[in-house]
Amino acid sequence: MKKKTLVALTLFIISVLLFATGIFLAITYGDTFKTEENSLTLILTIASFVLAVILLGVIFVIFLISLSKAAYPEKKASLDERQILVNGKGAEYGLTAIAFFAFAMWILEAFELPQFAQPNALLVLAVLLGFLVYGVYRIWHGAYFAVNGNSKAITALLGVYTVISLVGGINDIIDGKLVEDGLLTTQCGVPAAGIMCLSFLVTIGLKALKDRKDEDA
Amino acid sequence: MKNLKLKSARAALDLSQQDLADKVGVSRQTISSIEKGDYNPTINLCRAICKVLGKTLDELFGEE
Repeated sequence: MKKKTLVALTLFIISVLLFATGIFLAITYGDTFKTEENSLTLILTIASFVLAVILLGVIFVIFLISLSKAAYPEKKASLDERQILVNGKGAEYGLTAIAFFAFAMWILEAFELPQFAQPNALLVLAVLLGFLVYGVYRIWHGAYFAVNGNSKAITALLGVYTVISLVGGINDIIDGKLVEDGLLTTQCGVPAAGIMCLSFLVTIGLKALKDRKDEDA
Repeated sequence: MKNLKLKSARAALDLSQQDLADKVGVSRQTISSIEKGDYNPTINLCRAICKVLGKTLDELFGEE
């Protein structure tokens, strides 16, 4: 078993034990937490839960670092000549998309049509739109994964970012942070980034299906 | 225009597009694009492909 896996497994077992300790203390002494003589028990209960969460966080960070290292074993991504050209074209289309978006927003303002987002939120959405167009173009034309990259690890990392962004976004929607005075706030960037990453994952899947049909056809 | 000479030279050595791409140091999609005629490789890439397949530039990339 690899050293990192062993460390992660050990930390996970410790965090589970800490959670169990916290639950045990809460169940056994829960009724008496308010009395002075059991304040130490309360501190131990809270400490168990907090330490368990911290350890789970450490495990997650180890997992992310391992995934990042697996994605690019040679540290620097290397693109072939065709991929470099595709990237350039993709960047062109991404910037064009931002320009069209900016023009559309200007039309809304110039003709005093109803706005849907705060100015800073529009900036965030414009940038994400540009990245979306750029990313989808690169993926569809086979320039997203570097020659020396591990496509599975990269896709897994993208999946993790998607989940984190979407969960964060849903949380913001529930907390009501997304809309203020009828306008989207900059917090909309979080779910928007999640939707962008999800779009990348869908495009990767569709591209993989297309490649399987085209391979040595 | 499709590069059928490249495809048949690759098949003659029983190499998949991925195998050839790995040997040459490019992505599989680049080899696929060259074979389909969607991408014109640089002279350096042409020479690298010829070296791996044991063919001359004219044999793989010459006009038909």
